[in-house]
Amino acid sequence: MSRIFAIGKYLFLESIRDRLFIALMLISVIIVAGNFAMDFFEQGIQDRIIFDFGSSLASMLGSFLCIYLIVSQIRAQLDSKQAYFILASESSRAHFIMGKWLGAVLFTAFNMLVIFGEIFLIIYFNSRIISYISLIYFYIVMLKLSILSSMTALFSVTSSLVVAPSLSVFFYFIGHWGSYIAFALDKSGGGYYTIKTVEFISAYLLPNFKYFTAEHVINENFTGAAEYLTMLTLYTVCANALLLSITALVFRKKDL
Amino acid sequence: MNNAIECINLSKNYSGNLTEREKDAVNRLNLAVAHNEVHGFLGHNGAGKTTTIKMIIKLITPSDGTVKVFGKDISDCDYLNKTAYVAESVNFYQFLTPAEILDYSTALNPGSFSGLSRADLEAKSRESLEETGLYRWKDTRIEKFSKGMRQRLALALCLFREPDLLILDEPGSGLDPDGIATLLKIIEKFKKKSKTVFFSSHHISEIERVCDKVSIIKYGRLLETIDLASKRLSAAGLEERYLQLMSAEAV
Repeated sequence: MSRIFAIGKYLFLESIRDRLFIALMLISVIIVAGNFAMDFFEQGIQDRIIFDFGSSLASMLGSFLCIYLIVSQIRAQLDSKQAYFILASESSRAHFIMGKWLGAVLFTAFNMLVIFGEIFLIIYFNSRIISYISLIYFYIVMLKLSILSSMTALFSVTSSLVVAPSLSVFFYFIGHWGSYIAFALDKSGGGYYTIKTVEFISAYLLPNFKYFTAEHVINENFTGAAEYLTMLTLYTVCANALLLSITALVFRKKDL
Repeated sequence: MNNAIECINLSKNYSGNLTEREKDAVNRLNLAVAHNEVHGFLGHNGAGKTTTIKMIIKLITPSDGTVKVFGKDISDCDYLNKTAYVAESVNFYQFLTPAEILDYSTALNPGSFSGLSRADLEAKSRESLEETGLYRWKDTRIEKFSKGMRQRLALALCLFREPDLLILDEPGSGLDPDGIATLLKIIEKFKKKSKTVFFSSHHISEIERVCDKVSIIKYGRLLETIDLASKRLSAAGLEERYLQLMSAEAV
């Protein structure tokens, strides 16, 4: 375990010193803060705009961060032989994968925490309301991004520097809009079995991100939020365990 | 007595694909590196030196044959806590400092540092960085280092870990004459401490200066293992023998 934490810790340290990531975070923070200036809307509407816009931006930044971090820390380091420092040590290949995943998730969580913290504070100073939904959505986004990180780790050990992020982005979209794709196929007159297959694959075989939104919690006015979050957490734990195990198994015998 | 490294009929075959032809990188290689020996590994570009080394440290799985380290098959034993490896082109994490890299190595290799206190580790870290001339830059980020300095850091890591078996893949590439002198000094130091060093190189003079034995390979096959200590070959003599072997095979 200590080796996994060490790999995660140094990935975090490296990333926090990378000017690119700091610049990205600062830009996001400034954009979210810009919403504060929209004082021509009613207070409730302004809060909603700040939350919707800020959380969408955070989710996008987080997705980019995990894909970029995992691909650069796994695929690029394997190509540049940088990874030999870990792989020729006492640590196993599974430690390498788990450590990199942990570090990437921690660094993404740090970035998300800054942005959601900002949204929370802006709403608080604007309307004196404690925005619980910001905290809940931060948690939901992190669950989703942890699955995206595992998925990218799998593609990083099985494909190239260009293909790995492309596949991650592709399956990320399918994960969100698989049911809409099936709906669109239905409207365009696609065959019954094609539609059912697309629905089945996107809902059960691939990571399904359809329910990783705050919408359900808001619509139900926080009733059943705990149960909903527990289900999402369980789904995330299972998906991560499965994806990371497959990644470690595939990577175990790979020639480097 | 068991050898430190023993390769028995070791082969690595890369099956072809649309863009590349099938290739035997290493072909039934038999090699033995005795304990407490500095063993050189000589061969032309693409001879299979790096592939052999990677198979020894489990970065590549052999297609056939066996590798034994300290007398045990590498698939059944954990020997990496006694082994350090320096790759051909050394690439470290650019936003970390040498001091952090050594600390990172401590966390990754708990077996190599078991029983050492924090103070012992700090003293060891200082000593290795001083010996490789990097102590002044211990808190400087590696992004500012030249290729030679990165290579020195790799050597500092070897000194820091003090393994029983040191495997170096062309460690002299990128080093200035001063760096080469440091490298040879480090190998001598390992030799004095009765450790085993196995290193590949293109520089015959480096090999002749520090090695007890040298194995010459061509197209993945071992041509000859020369006992330099008993034959008292000079660098010129070794070069002549090397060229002779290469041309004889060509005929």
